[in-house]
Amino acid sequence: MKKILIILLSTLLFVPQISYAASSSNQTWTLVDEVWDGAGVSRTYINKDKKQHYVFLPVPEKSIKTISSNENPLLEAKKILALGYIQQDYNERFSELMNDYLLPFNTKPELSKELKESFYKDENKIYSYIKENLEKPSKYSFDENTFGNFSDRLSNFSDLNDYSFKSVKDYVDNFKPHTFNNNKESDSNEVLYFGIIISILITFLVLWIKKPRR
Amino acid sequence: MRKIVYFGFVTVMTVLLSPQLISKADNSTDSLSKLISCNPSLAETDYYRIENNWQDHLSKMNMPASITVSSKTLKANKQQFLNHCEIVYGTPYDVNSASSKQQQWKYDMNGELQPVYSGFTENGVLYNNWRFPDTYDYETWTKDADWTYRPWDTSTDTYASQVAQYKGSRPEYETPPPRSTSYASPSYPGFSRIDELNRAVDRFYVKHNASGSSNPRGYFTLAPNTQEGVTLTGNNLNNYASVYLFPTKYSPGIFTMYSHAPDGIYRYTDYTIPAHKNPMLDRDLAIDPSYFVINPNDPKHTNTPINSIKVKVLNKGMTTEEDVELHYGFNGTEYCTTFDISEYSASKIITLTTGQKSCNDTSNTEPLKYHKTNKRTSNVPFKAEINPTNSNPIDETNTTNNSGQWNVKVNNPNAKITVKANDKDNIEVQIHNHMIKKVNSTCPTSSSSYEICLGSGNPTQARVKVYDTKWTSTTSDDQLVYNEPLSFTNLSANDPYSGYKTIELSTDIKNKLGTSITDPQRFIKYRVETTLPYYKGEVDFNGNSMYSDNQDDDFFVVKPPLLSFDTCRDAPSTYDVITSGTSDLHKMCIGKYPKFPSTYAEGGMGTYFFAKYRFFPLPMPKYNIDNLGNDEQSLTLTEDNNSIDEHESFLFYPTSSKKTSSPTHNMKDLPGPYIDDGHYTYRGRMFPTSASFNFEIQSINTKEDGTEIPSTVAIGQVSYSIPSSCYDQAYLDIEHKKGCDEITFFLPNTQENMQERPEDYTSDSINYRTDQITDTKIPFLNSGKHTFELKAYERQEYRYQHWTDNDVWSTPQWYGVQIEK
Repeated sequence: MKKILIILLSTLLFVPQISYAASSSNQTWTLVDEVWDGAGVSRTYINKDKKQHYVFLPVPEKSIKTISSNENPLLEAKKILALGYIQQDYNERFSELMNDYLLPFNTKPELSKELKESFYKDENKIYSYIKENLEKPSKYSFDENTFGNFSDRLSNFSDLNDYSFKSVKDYVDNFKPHTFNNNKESDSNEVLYFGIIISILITFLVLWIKKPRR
Repeated sequence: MRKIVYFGFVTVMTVLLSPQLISKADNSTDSLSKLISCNPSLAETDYYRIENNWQDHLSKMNMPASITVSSKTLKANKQQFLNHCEIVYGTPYDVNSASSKQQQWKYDMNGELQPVYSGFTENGVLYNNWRFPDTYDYETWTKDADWTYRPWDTSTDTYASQVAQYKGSRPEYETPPPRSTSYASPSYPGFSRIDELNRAVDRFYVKHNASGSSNPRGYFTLAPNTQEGVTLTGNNLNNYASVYLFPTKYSPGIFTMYSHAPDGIYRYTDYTIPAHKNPMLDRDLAIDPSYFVINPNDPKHTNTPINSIKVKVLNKGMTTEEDVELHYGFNGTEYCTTFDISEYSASKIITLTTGQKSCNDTSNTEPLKYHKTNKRTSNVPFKAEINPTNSNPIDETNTTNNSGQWNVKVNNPNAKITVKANDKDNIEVQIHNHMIKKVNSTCPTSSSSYEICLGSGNPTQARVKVYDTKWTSTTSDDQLVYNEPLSFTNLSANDPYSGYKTIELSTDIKNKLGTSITDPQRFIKYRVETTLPYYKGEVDFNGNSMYSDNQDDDFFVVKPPLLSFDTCRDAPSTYDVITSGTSDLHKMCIGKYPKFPSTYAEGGMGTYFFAKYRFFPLPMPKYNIDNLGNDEQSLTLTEDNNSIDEHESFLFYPTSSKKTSSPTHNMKDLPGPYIDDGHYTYRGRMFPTSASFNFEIQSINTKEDGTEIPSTVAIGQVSYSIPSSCYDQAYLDIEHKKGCDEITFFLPNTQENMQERPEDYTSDSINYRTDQITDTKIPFLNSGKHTFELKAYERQEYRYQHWTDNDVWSTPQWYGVQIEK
């Protein structure tokens, strides 16, 4: 009986991981693509039903020429947007840019495997850029007219006020640069698989310990 | 019984994405699903999300890049376009600051926050979001709800109490305004208020019923509303629906109906009327049926070269199209070219100058010509069709307007004259007017007319000439005996394309020639020649100049009067004669004149011997036979030329018994021109083409013992070839007229043939056709019993027809097998 209990307990150690992995629903959106579209960052999300959702993050119009001429316009656009959001204290927008939030579904999206490496590399560069330029005067206006139809979203409705956005300061202060092992970050699924293997090992260990006592 | 089921959120988006939604009132046949669904491919969104492409798309749709509402600049919302295929200006977040309305949000069943207003239309009107969830959400809500009749009518008793309670999910109470001042009017061309209401989708039915996708109208048409007792269509629905926004080309409309809800509160429900076009998915090419230009203008005759044909193509869709196939050609021909059309709502004139045989090979062409028609005038359809295989673009939303057809008039004008001269009492002229207009008495000068005369002369006057042929085949020695105009007026005014005029000439000719038309001592062969004026543009069905039928001739033979035969022999039984009528059919008759001759020594005038011989095709067709007196018989063919009956009167290739041999033979062992399965498909008859007649006149001397000793008085041969014009061009028969199927001739009396003749008798006749019959007398030297024997030999050739695909027998043709009998 104890043996069974130990096995169950060892398995339960990793239940949260298993549950998390199995919990994907149509409300789980994954960022699968982002491009510089000539006026902003255009993103494509997809859910488990293969339904697509598109998000457009416009940049200040005066920055378009600079961004377009850059050899990596997507990164350049994200850097300008990130800095602008921070300087304007647009927490919700910054969360969206960092793929921590998807507005119409009020949820935290995931990041596709294919996009993960480039996205995190960009993120490292964005934070470096922020730190270097945070105290400098803003080059671009992020007022309502600049953003056109994307202004003050949160002020329009109260439903989202309970969403716990991190403050920009929290983002910057707590950011730890991503590290890449063989150009790959660890995958959450790898943790899961590792846990299962450990559980099996513990089971055998318990059986082996009990056996000499017989 | 309250059948209300509460649902947390109502999402109509999924419901309205159904693929089979059909718009009943939309003449363009766009389906509702195509109009309101939004499931673009990644390739499409990849294209449109690029800013330049998006702005270009807006421009080509003739939609502004931005609008100003309450001094606020609102850009066309690319994100809304990509996600919902809608052209919305601004965002839901602009509503509070750019309008007097208060925005409100609710989660739909997919967990997506939905605003009451998506933004603004291109006209600055608030854009109602039909995805915003309802309080009530079950299949029969449309049918079961207790809708308020004319809710805007302030004179009703319940209005005041209802107004106070109207409550929906929107941020403010919805008090129905007077329709006359605040409600919208339809703006999409060709669609009335009722037309638009009849496009409304019952999103509750579509969402909850398994067959909802195939009947998006749901309980707007399926059953009457249980509370109101009427079906909510047309004017009925108009009495309940408060239409705040009618659909535009790219934006859906929305209307509200108010009801006394199960919870005791008056509530409202929004319904959607889909937009008329899907700004992302709509691809629609069309041909303008009102535009067709052909150069030179019709009418022209068959095979007239065409310099160009112009058709107009339209792009009614939202996509620039390239390398689109355009198939074109007259009936029965199909050419192909390709074109690009890069502008939305644009038109493009395609000029076709050649017939391109392959879509992708511009070098493989042939000239365009007016189409061939075997009619004198005909409307030949020219057809042009875009994208007939639906291969590019592959997803046109409406292909019913992809083709156009125009009638091109082809005129093959011609005039024809025919003459039929069976005998001196039966001469008819027919003038056929296959020109396009009535032939008038004066020559028109307008180039648009076809009756322009070539040369001088009266256009309504033909000419008839009669010649004595002297029995020669050449016409140079013909002697003109009659030359008169033949007038006709207003020919076939009512039916100018098939009309003709028949003119009986016999009496006129006889009157003009008087008694000289006959000669008591000879046969005369007359040739009747008729000519018609030449008119401008006469062609055959291939478009070639055609004047050969503006003249025609025929012949008739006049026999000496008082000529009668002593005896006739009927057609032998071996001919397997098939006849109807009351008389036996004469094959051969003989006679002499005078009937009781005297000898030369007695001063007798000599004796004419003559014979009549009739030619028949074999096997013989069925004839009606009429006796006309004086040994004259008239034959009329009774055979149905388009029937395959009466097998026994034809020779078929091949016979069923020998069709497997090669070469196949018929029952007379004649090799057939066709092999395999030809039996009863090819039929023919043997036709006489020439004949020779051997005659002999003998004197019978009787000895004392009674023995008869014959001695030849005259012997000889007459030959005759049947003119080719005597063979019927439609039937397997020979014409029934003297000189064709019937010949009458006097026996010649040549020096070589004459066994007994007086010393002074020196005439040397050749044959009966050229000589005076006075030279063909038999000058009997001795009295007594004489015999006259005549033997005929015919040369025959096979003439046949074949059964055509049109279920008629073909024109008879000769096949060169000959036999003698």
